[in-house]
Amino acid sequence: MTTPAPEQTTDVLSPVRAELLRAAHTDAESLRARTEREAAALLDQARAEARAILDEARRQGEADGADAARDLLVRARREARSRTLDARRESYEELRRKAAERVRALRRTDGYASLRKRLEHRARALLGPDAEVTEHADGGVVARAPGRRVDLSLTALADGALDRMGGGVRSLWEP
Amino acid sequence: MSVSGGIEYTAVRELRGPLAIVEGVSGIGWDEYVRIALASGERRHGVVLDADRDLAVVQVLEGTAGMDPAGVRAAFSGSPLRVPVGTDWLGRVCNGRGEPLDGGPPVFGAHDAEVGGAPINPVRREPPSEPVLTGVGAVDALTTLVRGQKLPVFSVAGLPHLELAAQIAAQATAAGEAFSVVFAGMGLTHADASFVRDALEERSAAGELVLLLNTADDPVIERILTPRIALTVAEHLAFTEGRHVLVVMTDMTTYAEALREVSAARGEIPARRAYPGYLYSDLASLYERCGRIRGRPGSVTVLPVLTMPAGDITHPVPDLTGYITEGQIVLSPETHARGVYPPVDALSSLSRLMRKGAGPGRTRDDHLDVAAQLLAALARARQVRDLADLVGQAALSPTDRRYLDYEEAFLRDFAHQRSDEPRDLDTSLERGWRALLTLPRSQLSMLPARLLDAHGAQDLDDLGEGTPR
Amino acid sequence: MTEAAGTPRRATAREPVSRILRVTGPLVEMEYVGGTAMYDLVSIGPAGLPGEVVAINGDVVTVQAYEYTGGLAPGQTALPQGRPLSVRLGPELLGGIFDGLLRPLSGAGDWLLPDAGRHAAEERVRSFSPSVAQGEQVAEGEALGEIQDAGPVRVKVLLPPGCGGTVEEIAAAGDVPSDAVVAVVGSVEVRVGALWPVRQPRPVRERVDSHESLNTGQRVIDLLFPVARGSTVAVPGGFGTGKTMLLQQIAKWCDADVIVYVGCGERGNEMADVITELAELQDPRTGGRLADRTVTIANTSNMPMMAREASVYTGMTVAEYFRDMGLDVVVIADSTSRWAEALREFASRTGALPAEEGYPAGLASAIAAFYERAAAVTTLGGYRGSVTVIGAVSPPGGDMTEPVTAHTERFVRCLWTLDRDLAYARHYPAVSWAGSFSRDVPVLAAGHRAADDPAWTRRRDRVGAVLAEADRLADLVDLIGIAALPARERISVLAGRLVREGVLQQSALSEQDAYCGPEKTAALADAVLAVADRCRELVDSGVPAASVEETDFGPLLRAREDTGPHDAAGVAALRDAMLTRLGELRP
Repeated sequence: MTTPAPEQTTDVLSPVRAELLRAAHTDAESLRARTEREAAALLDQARAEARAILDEARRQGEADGADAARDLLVRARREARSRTLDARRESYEELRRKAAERVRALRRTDGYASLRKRLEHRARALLGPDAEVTEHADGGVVARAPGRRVDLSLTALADGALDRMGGGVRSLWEP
Repeated sequence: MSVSGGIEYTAVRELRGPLAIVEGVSGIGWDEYVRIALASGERRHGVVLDADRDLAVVQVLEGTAGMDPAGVRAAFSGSPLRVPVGTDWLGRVCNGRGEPLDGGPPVFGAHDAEVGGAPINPVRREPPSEPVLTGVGAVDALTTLVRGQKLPVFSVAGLPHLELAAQIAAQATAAGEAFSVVFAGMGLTHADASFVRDALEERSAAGELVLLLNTADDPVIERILTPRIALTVAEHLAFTEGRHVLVVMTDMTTYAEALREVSAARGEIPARRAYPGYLYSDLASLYERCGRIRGRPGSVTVLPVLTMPAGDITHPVPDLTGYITEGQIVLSPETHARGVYPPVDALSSLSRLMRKGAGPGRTRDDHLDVAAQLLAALARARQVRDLADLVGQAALSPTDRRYLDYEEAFLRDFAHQRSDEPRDLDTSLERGWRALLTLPRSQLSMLPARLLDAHGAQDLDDLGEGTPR
Repeated sequence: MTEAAGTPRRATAREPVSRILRVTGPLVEMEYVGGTAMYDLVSIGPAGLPGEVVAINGDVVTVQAYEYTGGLAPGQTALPQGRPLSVRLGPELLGGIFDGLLRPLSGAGDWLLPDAGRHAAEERVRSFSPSVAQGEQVAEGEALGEIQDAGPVRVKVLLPPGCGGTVEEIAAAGDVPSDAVVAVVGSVEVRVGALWPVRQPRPVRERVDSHESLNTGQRVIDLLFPVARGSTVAVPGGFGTGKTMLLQQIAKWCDADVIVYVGCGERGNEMADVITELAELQDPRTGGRLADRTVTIANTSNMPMMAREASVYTGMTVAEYFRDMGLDVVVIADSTSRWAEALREFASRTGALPAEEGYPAGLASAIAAFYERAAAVTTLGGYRGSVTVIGAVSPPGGDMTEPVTAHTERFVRCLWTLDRDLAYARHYPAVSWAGSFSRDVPVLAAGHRAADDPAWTRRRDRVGAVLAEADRLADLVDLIGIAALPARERISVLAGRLVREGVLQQSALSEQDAYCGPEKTAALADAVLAVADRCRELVDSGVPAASVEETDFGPLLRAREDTGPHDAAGVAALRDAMLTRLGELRP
């Protein structure tokens, strides 16, 4: 078995995670409301059009009307659904962006020096004392040893932290 | 990041076929899932096939084309592939690896589960006993699908099996109880994939469908994961969330071909028709994930669809499937040629669990009798038709001529339906009765007199001459 | 139940700890650390997965794991157990359901996870009653006492093979825990339960010839292809031919003392069905539950393939354990083809040179050795017991020339071939009379002649002849129509139909017909033959064949369902009524 990661040193987001999520939630909320409105309007419009097609078809005694109307509704529903999903993805990506910013901002804080030291320590713990440790452009470190590499850049740490949030991200779009 | 603490291995000693051999690793387990990053930033995925001292032989799902050993970084995930599970999947459309195709964010879940699953303890299984109604008359009336059953559709190229699979996925219900469908498409053409998306749009919008689509141009090896992800998601929806879940998997022949390709790449000794010797166990590891469990709500019902190469039912894929599953729905080119949809070959089709899931207290009191009589009469009609081809219709007895009428009524009125028409069981059985009543009463010995009276069955003389065609 | 803590190990001094070197699927390589022999059990990795040593090459030991090895990594520990794969035999097996390594499934969770937490055997208190006294001399295999509360089966506690001498201590009648020592003989402690390595046949004093048939309760078998106690049967059949149904019927109704049902790589729902039904059904001979004489080994198709390989040996060992008490045991293995596939899979992973269709060259000898463990014997203790083996074969694509089917046919004494056309025509059990055989017929005929049923051979021959003649004519009828045949031949066609529908077909769903006693089987066959004879006399005397054919034979054909399982007199009455009705036909 490999050594489990000591989470507290790498999970740089944990103190701010709840706050971050709350902020993202507010943004997502307005996006969600807007998308829902748009989706509803889209569906209403499609229903009205479908009704018109059906009425027209019935007047002319055509059988194709029903199919056409159904196709229209299917397309509208898909469009509405895809807008909702797009909106969710946007809020999720926004959260990731914010998290990354937030983490990069750590670089300018007083605590950064000690964080960087902890990261370097951890890198050597994983790869051995001879590992070559370099500063990452976005903050944090990258360490290399023959055949192995550890990415402890702040960006990578933020990504990892978000991945670990898993189901928690859903609260962005769940009212 | 994972239990390996985020170490990425960069020493790739060898690339060969779909395999990448990474050296200098430690603590890497067999069957572990691997995330691979190329120098270009491209991401690929893999599975550990052989964990040998400090070497890990990784099968790259997307293949090794364009991979330069320099700059490759492999991160081992610490366990076999796991996917998030939960209701978040409902209403989503993803590729064969579970990544979104619908523009949405990744699928999240409060829990995750290993895609390989674990065998259900046979002692904890509850024997299946209630029907899933598909809204397809010929299936519901004659080969009733039972919750927890595995019932494949055997077809041949050119028949509308995808239409039938989509129709069943769109229409199936479980007597008003919470119901979901997981549809796993493997090696579908883009046209077929978009057909499936359209046909299932409504169910998807209603949040009752999970759609996984691996298209023909997607990596072949990914096809091996698709049904496993589908079943893992389904098991959770069923046994934790309490839904009745129907898993439609198509096309299992394409899946088996992917398995064969992988096996060949690994240099394994082939068995029948170059399929790997473990094809039976591999198929069983998918099909056997259906069932019900004592003390848990929900059920997983599996409907695999497979095309028999050259229509050969002894081909390893249908043959081994037949040994594992509980019956089969066979589609026939002859029936298709007569313009009947769905072109079910009723006499070759069988649902072994029908007796447990249909009839009094399950569907309708007369269901099993009507089904038995419809099939017996159809068998006789088949013989009469053969005879008529030989001796001519004129030489047939009046009773035999009625059988020709019966077959016509069976196909046109009972079996045939539109691909977007949900037909309830009552209607299907009444249509069955209507077909049966073209026969004289004396030929309906499997039905109780009481029911024959109620439906007004007539003697031969009262029916009049059969209509010669 | 595979192993109990504190079991004596061969090498006692130290517990060797080995390291895993390599993992590829179920094959695990580890360092050789001494105290390891071929076919020894190894506990692998942090979860302690069970595995068996299959090769030792220099300082590398290859182990075949019996569970899924996902996540197992080089560097983890493996603990050689210093003894071969063994199972614990005892009265608690009866009525139980186990996996391929004889670990109880009843206590396991909803899903079978690959960890070691599954072999906590249920330790029950048993009511022991000694049959020897202190100071008596006993030899190996002899009974020391009986377990009183094992249901309808008389379970003896035997002195293990290789022991013998004076009874130094013996427990008094009363309750004992099932792992307690109940006797000390020649300074060997004897417990109720005993460990036995599954791959090693339990020794017997001698194999004996059997003249006694195993009544299966299935007419087509008991009448045409009977099997002797201690014999071997293969049942080949493609999917949908009703193979599992037939085997389940035999498991329920055959007149053995103990049934060992090995579900080897078959369907989970079907296994659930067997388990549920056995628990509900009553044993007509003892009045107890059928489950109480049955040991079920369930290794469904999705359970680890390598445990499937072991499961047939496990089942055989359990059967031999009960045989040694002087019992008649039947092992039903469904399906041996899945077992052979596990052999192939294993051979392919170890890089053995493949022979036919990828199967290892040793396939034929493995099959032969498996069936050879069946026998009627005099046990070490001097009792008469038998193990009969019935193995299903699932030929791929219905191809009877494929290696498993072809080899199995050579090694068994009886073959009950299931025919797809019969199954398609809903003729069950779909045992083909043309494609089956029983090499036990001569000895059993001698037995019947000497004992109960002198007409047995003649009846069997006549039924066989009727079927063969009807088959020959069937092709002709298809070509030219029945009306074109001479009257006598039309009666032959009719007789064939009467035999098929009135005798050979048997409804598993009918309460009266599911199982048929030997006297009723004889009565039904005699009735149909007598009716056929009368029909032939009628056409000879000028009655038109058509009017014979139009007679309603319903009462005769329904006799199998309308009379009880042993009601030979009822059948005879229906036969007489039928003969009388035929007597009314005039030229």
